[in-house]
Amino acid sequence: MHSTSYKKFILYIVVLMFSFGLIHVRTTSALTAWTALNGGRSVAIYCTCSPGCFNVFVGPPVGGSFMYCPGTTRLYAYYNIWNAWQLGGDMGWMPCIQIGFPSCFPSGGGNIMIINGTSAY
Amino acid sequence: MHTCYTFYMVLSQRIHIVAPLLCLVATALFFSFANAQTTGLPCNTITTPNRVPEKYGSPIDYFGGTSLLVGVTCSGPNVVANVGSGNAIQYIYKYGYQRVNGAWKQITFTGSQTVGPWVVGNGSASLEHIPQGTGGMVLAYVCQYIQGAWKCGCSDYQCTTPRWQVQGYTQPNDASRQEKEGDGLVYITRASSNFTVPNQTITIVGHGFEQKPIYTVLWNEKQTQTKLTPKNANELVITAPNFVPGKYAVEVREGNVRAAEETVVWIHAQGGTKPVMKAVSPSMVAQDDLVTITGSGFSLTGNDIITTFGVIGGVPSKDGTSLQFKASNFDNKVTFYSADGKVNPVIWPYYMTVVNENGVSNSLSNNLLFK
Repeated sequence: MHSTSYKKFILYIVVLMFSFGLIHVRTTSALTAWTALNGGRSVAIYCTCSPGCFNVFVGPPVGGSFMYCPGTTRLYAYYNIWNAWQLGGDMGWMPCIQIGFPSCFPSGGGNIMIINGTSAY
Repeated sequence: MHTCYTFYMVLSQRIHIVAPLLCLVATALFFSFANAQTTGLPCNTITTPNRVPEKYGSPIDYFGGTSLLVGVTCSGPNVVANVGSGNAIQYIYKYGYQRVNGAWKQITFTGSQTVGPWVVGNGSASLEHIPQGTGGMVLAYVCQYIQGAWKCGCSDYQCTTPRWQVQGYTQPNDASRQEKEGDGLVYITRASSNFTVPNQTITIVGHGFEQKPIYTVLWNEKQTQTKLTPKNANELVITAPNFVPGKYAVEVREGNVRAAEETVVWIHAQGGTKPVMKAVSPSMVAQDDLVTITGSGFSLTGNDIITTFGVIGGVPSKDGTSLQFKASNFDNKVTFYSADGKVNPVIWPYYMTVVNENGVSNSLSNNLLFK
């Protein structure tokens, strides 16, 4: 098992490489528990009881259900998580929590987007 | 498998080899029979919440990831509606509807387990043939037992108003037409770029392209290219027409069947002066507050503002140097809560980029307050 600091270091390197266009997708083989998302036509729904997080549904080819969360997800141009093509990386699953009675309840969820670039539309 | 194992134990006393082989053959036959109703390729057209027609429930399973509760598969002339994902908490109302010749016609879902008028887990129903290239619709009603409550006919996570859950489909071409027009199963994911200039090539990315010269391209419903052959199963290279600079919906057809999605491409004026964003004010806005962008090169007739939460389209500028729009394009006000139900304000960076017929601007951001 890698230490937390080592994971942070690896994450930092990957973010830098992504920033400079050295890698785009398919980082799966390079990192444990790191997967790529590369899908079209996202739709986002807000998770009213997860502080500021949105559950983003991404279409094929490498789509699924993802979470866009403050302080964790770093966006790149065109910064649009709404009905646009998404390209990035995700790590770890978290639930989408919705307000309910008598308390909040989990409703779907997905892997947390770590870095994510988007198309304009 | 337990039955198979018992069968094996009984027979293996006498027939050591034949019994397990019989089991394997029986298992294979069982599964081939069980799956007979669901073979074929997906030909449903509603896979994301934004494509659900108004006044209908969603075919998406909001309590089980992104899977579809209501789907349609096509295999030649056979079209089958499949409802439920097999989970025992799902109860499918045995009657549904299919739209045929402009009228709704009742269909009956069948499955391996029923309780009263409900099919448990998953059910299927054969649909009537409709003309190739035309769209069909099917309605179903699914209840799920979630967190101690029944959620029926959901349109979203909240599931407050039960509705018939709708799914659309496109009837592919039959075998006799597939040879010259393809099977009609093609999906558009995106364009390699949403911005181009006349006569420049862009790639339409999708699924199900066949290596045949059967593809037609339309820009705002106007046909520009025919008999195109794709580069491979996922890419079709097209050329931007020499049209008036502006925003276009690009559609692809395989034979006479329209692809399940379309995409947006701006044709920019060659040598045009790109819009430039210099400042955004205020630096912090609440939902529905007015945001002002100052800069240059804004269109007097219509600019698209690409934001973190979607595109705000057709925003005119009074003088070419400023733009104003509401800092939200949600249907309803978005409020976040803490676990005990109290309002929990959240501040988000809110990026924006301006696009018009002359090009794409730089990006700036302010902060959007959800309170």
